Amino acid sequence: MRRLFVIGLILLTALSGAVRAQPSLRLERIEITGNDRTESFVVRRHLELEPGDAVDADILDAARARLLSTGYFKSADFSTQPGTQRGDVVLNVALVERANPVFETGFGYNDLNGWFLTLLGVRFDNSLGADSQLRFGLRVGFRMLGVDGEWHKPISDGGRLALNTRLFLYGTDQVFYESMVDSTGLTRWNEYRQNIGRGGAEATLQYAVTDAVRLEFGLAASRVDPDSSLEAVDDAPATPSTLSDEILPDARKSSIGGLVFRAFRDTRNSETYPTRGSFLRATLNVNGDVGANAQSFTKATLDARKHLHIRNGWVLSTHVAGGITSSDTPYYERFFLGGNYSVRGFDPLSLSPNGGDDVYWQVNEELRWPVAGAPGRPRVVALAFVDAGQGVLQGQSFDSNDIDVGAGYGVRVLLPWAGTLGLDVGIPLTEGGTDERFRVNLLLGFSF
Amino acid sequence: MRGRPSRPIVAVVLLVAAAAEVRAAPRPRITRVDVSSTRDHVVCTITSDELFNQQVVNTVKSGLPAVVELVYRVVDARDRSLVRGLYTVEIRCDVWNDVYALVRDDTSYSYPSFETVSAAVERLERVPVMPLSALDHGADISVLVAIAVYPLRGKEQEDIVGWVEEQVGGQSSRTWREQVLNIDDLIQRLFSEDVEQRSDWFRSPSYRPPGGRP
Repeated sequence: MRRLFVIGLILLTALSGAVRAQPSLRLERIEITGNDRTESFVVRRHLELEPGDAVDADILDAARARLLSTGYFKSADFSTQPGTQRGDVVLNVALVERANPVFETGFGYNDLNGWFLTLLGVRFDNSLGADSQLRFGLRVGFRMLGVDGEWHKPISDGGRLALNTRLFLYGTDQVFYESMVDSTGLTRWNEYRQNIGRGGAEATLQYAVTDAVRLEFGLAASRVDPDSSLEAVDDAPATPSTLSDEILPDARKSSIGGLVFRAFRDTRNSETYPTRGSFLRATLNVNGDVGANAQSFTKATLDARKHLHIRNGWVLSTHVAGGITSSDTPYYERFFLGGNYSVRGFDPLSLSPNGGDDVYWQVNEELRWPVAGAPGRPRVVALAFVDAGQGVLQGQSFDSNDIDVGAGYGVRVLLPWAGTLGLDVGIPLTEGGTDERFRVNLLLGFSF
Repeated sequence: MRGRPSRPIVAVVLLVAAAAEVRAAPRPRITRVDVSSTRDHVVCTITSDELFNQQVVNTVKSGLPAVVELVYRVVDARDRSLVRGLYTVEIRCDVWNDVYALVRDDTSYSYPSFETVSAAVERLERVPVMPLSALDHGADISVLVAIAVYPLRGKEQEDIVGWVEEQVGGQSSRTWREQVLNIDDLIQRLFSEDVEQRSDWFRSPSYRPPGGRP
């Protein structure tokens, strides 16, 4: 009886092995229809499927998602039919292309101006060559308003090498603070703003080393036009006492041009609400003498983020950033600490001198947890944070007694249409800035 | 000249004929819905035809799944919606052994041929639509049902939020990250239904379930 049981067990194991050993379905060929404007090789490139590949429903689902994520197609209906051999599959891809132009809205982040809303964007697909995208957008963000255009064109190596060209025209507000002692002997802070117009272009070659790692190298040139006067905010005196002398000599029309190099490594599971993975960005700008009133300076930055899923959607997120720039850098290209995306609890840019810092570092630690929606797809996220940072001028050294620290709590609402909207309450834990006791900020996206 | 139509007229006639052919492509059709009760659920038996277009047949026969989606709504005598839901079942084929199956959750029923599995789908028996305990005692109800079969994957499962998340993609370089949403797609999604592959809604006769809440 025992022997019979053992034989039965062996037979069962062998049978289950046979089931496991069953060959998978194999892709024989791909038939694509409906791609009037998009070249077939572009479709195949985004499908990432080759004849001979193993296929199943999940693989085809992922391929369809990749195809739709290009934005070129209104719909992509997949079906299959038996191939010439048993187990061979012919994939039929029926596409409906979008009509140009495509109108879009959204939100995003760029190095120059931080988070922004795209009030209205217009996109033309495949209009200047296969797989190219031409886009224009009217964007509004954190103290900025402007328009920009971008042309992205994959060149070769399966789309890993691409040429990216940008044109932009923006107005941004630079904020300055000046202290004065009023008639009662109390120190009060006056706020001034200066509009800085920027227009320029950038052309970069982008190479995706892997899906997570990307390198960019190119040329950038811009014209900067700061207002020659400062605007007093609220009840500040119309004319600042010393600020004009400090800032305005550098507030002239200037040209900035040179080389840009950027490296990225991004393994986050989501860009809007990452719960796992890390992000690393290193940038280097070397600007030279490119004509009259040219600003020559070199600037390097590093930005690292790590997201650690603890349990049940709770995430510990860490952000470490720093930068160094040469001492001849104009104030509008230097580093400023304080505010939404820096050390919260302080007024924006208030932790740095009005001329900015040459070297800085900051660390942000955030605990995020879902309070509404599914744990994997929350709609509302609460958070608690501690921020710290410090900036100095060239030749000065960091002093542990001068670190600016703020802490607080906040909430984010993840709206697919409007992006991520948030509110943070920050409390300064150290002296500095404009001596506020706490600060409430509305912001787009997460702080990092 | 009289008996010979001009080229533009021929072209128009051909276009209309082509359009008519497209319109005439068969859509799933529900012919009967019988409502009854088990011990604890209101259940429906749905009879339908024209469920399987050539794409679906080919997909299943190539070894990949097709998804049957049944959307339903239970309404009271005043047409107020009591429950709405989605019931899905997958049709699969083991091409190595020529065996077909209907799969729902972790339960699988085998069929020896495509004809037998398609017959089972054309008469879906005892699909639970709502628990009896959720009904008032003595209340009349009707069940509205629509059905579709999609090759590879379902479409009703993509709720609007899921769809938006699929559409909202990082569209640019990482110096210039942007999440975008196509406005025309959003409008289309909000104000139109995917009716090409789905049957019309079919309303069952009125039914008074036994028991229910006192």
